[in-house]
Amino acid sequence: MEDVVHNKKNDSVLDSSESYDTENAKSQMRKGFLEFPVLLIIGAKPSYVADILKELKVANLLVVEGTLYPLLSRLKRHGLLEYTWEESRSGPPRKVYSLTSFGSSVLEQLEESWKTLDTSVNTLIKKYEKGN
Amino acid sequence: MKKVINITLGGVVFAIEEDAFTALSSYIEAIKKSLSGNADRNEVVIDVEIAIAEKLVARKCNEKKAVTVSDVEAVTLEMGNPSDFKDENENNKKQTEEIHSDSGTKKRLYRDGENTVLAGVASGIAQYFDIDPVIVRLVFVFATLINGFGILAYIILWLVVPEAKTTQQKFEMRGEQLTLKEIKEQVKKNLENIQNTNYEPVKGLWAKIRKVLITIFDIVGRLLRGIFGFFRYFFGLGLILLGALGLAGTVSVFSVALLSGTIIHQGEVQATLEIIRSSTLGVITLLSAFFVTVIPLFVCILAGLSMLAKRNHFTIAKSVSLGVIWFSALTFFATLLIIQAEQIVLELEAQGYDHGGHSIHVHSDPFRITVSEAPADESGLFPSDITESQFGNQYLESSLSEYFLRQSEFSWQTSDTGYRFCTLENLDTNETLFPLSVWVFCSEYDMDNGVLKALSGSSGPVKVFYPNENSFYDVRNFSHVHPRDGSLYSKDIQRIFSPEVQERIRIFDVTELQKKNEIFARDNIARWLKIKDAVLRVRLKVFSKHIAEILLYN
Repeated sequence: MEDVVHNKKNDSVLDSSESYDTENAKSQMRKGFLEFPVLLIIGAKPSYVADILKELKVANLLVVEGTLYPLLSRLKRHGLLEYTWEESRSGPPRKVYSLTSFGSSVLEQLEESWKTLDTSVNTLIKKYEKGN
Repeated sequence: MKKVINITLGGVVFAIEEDAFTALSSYIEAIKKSLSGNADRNEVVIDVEIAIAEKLVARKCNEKKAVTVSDVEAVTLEMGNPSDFKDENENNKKQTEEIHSDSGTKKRLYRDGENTVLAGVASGIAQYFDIDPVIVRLVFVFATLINGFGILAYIILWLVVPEAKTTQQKFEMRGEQLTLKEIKEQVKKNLENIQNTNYEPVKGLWAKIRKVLITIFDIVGRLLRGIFGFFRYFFGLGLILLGALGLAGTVSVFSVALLSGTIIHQGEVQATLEIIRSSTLGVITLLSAFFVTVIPLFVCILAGLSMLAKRNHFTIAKSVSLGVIWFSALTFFATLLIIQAEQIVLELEAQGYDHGGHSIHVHSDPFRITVSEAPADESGLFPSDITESQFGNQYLESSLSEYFLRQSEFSWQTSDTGYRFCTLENLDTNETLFPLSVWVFCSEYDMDNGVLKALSGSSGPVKVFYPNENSFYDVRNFSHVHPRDGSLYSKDIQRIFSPEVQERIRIFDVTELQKKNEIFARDNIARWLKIKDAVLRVRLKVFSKHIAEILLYN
């Protein structure tokens, strides 16, 4: 009897985990705060998309290229970024993005808020890990 | 061997294989869709094209190698799913719109070429009704086992229903909206299929049979579609012509029926129409009859147009509203006709029409009345100022004169310009009923510079008969007897006339009568000449005016 009940519980857990898309949640989380690392990379030195992608990969922040284009365009539209065209020997010209002064000030604010967020999240994580 | 298309992407020229081009363009289209509502849409699309171009260049695709499906696949994998291009921080207003516009995607019946036992008919139907294809297959098998209908239906469907070949058609088949991931998946699937067909040759007996059947059906299907396409034009044109002519005819018939009411000059139809038109209810009946005839003709035209334009002109709303109007018009017409039928029949009978047959019975003879009321010829030869007559009836005297003018032994024409007159005198003054005994004086005159000249004529006693003394004086019905000339004259007079009349004849003085006739003649000829002259003058006037006008305009 107990076995049967136990199985049932397991089943229901399995069901809910299926309806909750963990992969999607992770990608949403990454996408949501992707602006910040992108600004950090460009803030370090003017870069084009391939540079940004490489840096993100190094930082283990895997995103597909497709996500970057709308993001960069939006940041440019809001005046955080600007770009210049750079000729390429092998292919079409590339856009090289750099921070505007407004972009730098936004980045500073983001950095600050990230740091506070980081400490608070870290304390929560530590508590959670201790609890387990 | 593959067809290659030249394209530019991010300013770089590429030679791209046809299937790779299809995959790439549907990928870019999907990205565009996913970016709908994004303010930077055009810029991002350009960025993406440049990025793809860069990647293809990196794969050495702009040198001697054409872009293949696998190149496109690799590049798109690197770029990410079209859904990844959705910027989460953009406002979501547009997304709901997108859903709305996409919900209009219609589900259509196609054969499912990806999921087949034979030709994908069953799986296509299953897709259409959202059921398991196995069930449909079982139904086909079952129907075949019972009466062979299943195989027939399958064959017909195979020939008639097209296979879903393009991505768009495949989505229409499934009734799905063209979402981006799905396009990507479809592209992947297509690639797999291409590879499958390349690397896995048909194996097994069933596969061989299937291949042969598919080839045969493909040819037959194309042939049938071709024939149908050929006849479609004639049939469609015929339908349009039929509808248009019918419509024109109906409109004219009904407008005539409603406005003037003279469609056919047949008494009964005419009378029925008159009765119907005279009441408001009747007019409504006619109008509903009009709709009853016009709507099917309209449908004919629409069907013809649909056939010609290869486009269905029958939307559900149109069909339903036409159907409702037609049916209600029919009901209206039938009901009103039944209500009015009795009244119409009654009125028709009252007007003298027998509704039972087509013959028309006229109960009274209109001719007799008309003729009896019409006066005898008053104008012309006889002056109308004679009011009292020796015959007690002016018309009788006129008729008698007319009669004798027609009798060649009394009056005859010798000259073109001559005018003839006959004058009578009643020999029996007490008698005004037939047979009448009269003295006739007839003469032909000519007017020469105002002087009357007698040309020819005769004079003598006559007895005149008429079949019915009470009836009116039809000149054709008169008859007469007159004494022969010469030695027989006196004998004949005795035989024909009564003693009193004989006495009168003996002492009769013809000069009185001659004078009377001459006076008549002079008056009438003068009058006639005046009229002639007047007419001539008017003619001359009109003619000269006409000439003047012609001269003026020339």
